[in-house]
Amino acid sequence: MPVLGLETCFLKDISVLQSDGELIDAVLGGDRRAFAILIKRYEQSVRAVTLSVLRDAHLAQDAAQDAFVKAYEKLGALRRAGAFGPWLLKISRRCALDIAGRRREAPLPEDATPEARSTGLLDEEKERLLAAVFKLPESERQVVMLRYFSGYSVKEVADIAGRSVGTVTKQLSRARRQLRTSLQEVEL
Amino acid sequence: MNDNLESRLEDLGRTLGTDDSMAPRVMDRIEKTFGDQPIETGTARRGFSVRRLVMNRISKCAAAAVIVIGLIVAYGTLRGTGGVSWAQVLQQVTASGTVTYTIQAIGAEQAEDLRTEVIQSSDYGTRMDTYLDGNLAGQAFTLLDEGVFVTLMPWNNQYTAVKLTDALREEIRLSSGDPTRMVDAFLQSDYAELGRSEIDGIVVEGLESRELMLAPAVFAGPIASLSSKSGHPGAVRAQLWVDVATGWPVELTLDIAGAEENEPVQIVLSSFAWDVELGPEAFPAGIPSDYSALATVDVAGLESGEEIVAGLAYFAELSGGTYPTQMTVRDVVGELGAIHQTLDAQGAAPEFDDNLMIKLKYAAAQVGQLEDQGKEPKYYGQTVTASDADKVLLRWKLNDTQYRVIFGNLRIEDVTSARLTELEAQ
Repeated sequence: MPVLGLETCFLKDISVLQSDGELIDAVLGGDRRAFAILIKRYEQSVRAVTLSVLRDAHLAQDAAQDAFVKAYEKLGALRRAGAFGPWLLKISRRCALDIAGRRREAPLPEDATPEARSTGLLDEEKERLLAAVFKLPESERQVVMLRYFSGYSVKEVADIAGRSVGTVTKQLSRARRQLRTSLQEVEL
Repeated sequence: MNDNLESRLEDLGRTLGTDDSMAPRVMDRIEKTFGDQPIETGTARRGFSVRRLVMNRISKCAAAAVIVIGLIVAYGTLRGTGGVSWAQVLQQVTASGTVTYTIQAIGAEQAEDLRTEVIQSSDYGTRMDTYLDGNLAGQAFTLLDEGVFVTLMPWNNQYTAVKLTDALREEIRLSSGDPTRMVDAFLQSDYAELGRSEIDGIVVEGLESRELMLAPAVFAGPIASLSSKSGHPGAVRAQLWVDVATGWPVELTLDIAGAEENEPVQIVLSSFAWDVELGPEAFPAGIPSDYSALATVDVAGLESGEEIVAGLAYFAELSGGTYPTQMTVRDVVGELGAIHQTLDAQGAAPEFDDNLMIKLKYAAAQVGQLEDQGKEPKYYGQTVTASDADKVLLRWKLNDTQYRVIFGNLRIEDVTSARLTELEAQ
């Protein structure tokens, strides 16, 4: 299929009216190009997950690719299209852990200190912020990543996640409140 | 708050960066790995479009406040009973949001007409009036500002109050009154398509699942409380019918087969009116001044385990040191009833402490909640007694590394996964 001919820089723009569910239906219907849109949509979020586990930008990139390929392979088993984002991030973590295992280097636990989790890519403040993002509940983590990491508007995040604008707005508000609390606790 | 949090998050996103080669590389790998081979699809995921129908065609209700807790509490059904009927389970549920609907329980051997009228508003809360043969049998409502769910018992002018946590109130506001929740529950299960039909002249499209049940006591209302039927002994057939023209859910039915001491019953949620105008006059302003408190329960205490301990301690006091064999509302009620009957036959039946009995029922419901939340609760009441000071009676997951444990002597302790493995090996 002529996927590689797509201009990925435009993928975000043409995908905003399609929910994850619609894209998944298209992929399952045989249109693989729709999966490229999902990749672009979740690229930063997936890399954030793999980076937090592996602490190496190159390995994180490899794990992110593995995660997308694995998600494609398993897409037919996904029962609820609206859960694609959190599901993909779980796959991403597993792929990162696999690579970490292969390197015989045990990943750090999720509650490790920011200093211990140095990625070589993020400074200490960003490490702390990323760690706080990973403490958010799944659904809130997804909207935060889509909104701030991938740069979608609230309306676009709502379309992607299949939620109302009101729900996304409230989830973002609650997530910011929780992030502030987490960051204050760390700084104290 | 001007702490630049949003710009810091955006900056973090920029640092994580984008890679225009990612999508082509992944797609290339997919091409090479899978060729023209189509993706294998499971049996559960099908091309059914009700969810999208709902998502696209309705303007969602305003965010709603929802509380669910039972009139099983209100009715005080513990006294000498041997079990809980599903009609009573139904009465445990109230919900709120900008929606009104009717819940009816129809039992094969049920002579009385049992029906509950529900109204929900994000502005004013919830009101659920239950009628038995047309007479008001109980009323439950939320007081949003106070963060309390109240159940009134008109026959004895008493009430129960459940104090909510802030997090729960917020979750309730976000999750309830949203008709897509019902559809989501079906789509997460192994569902079947029913095709089109007609209800009261409305063309509808339906889904059927054998995996769903209303939770016995949840905090998100009937329309959001459909979940796994784990713990229910009988078969359940759930059907959801959605208006093809508008996308609004029209009817939800649960056909519950008879099992053990429960007769078969059908629960029907119908007469939905979504997104309706509801004023303050439709909702109680507070607890009537001539009512006295029967019981109070604190959800924060349930979540911490303290209220669970209070309920279990009461059971052990009555039973002589044993705990309920199963922590479900149904089992707890049944076993307490049996204990009462035994003591009564010996002429030693105590006066029940309503407050503690109600805490015990909420404790049992909380274990079900933990299950639904994926917190891996495990209960060992069949083998652990009050004399087993260091054995795990109940535990649930707090996070990836820690569990909360209630031991046989009812002390609460947080332990690591490794420590839990050691304890459970005993």
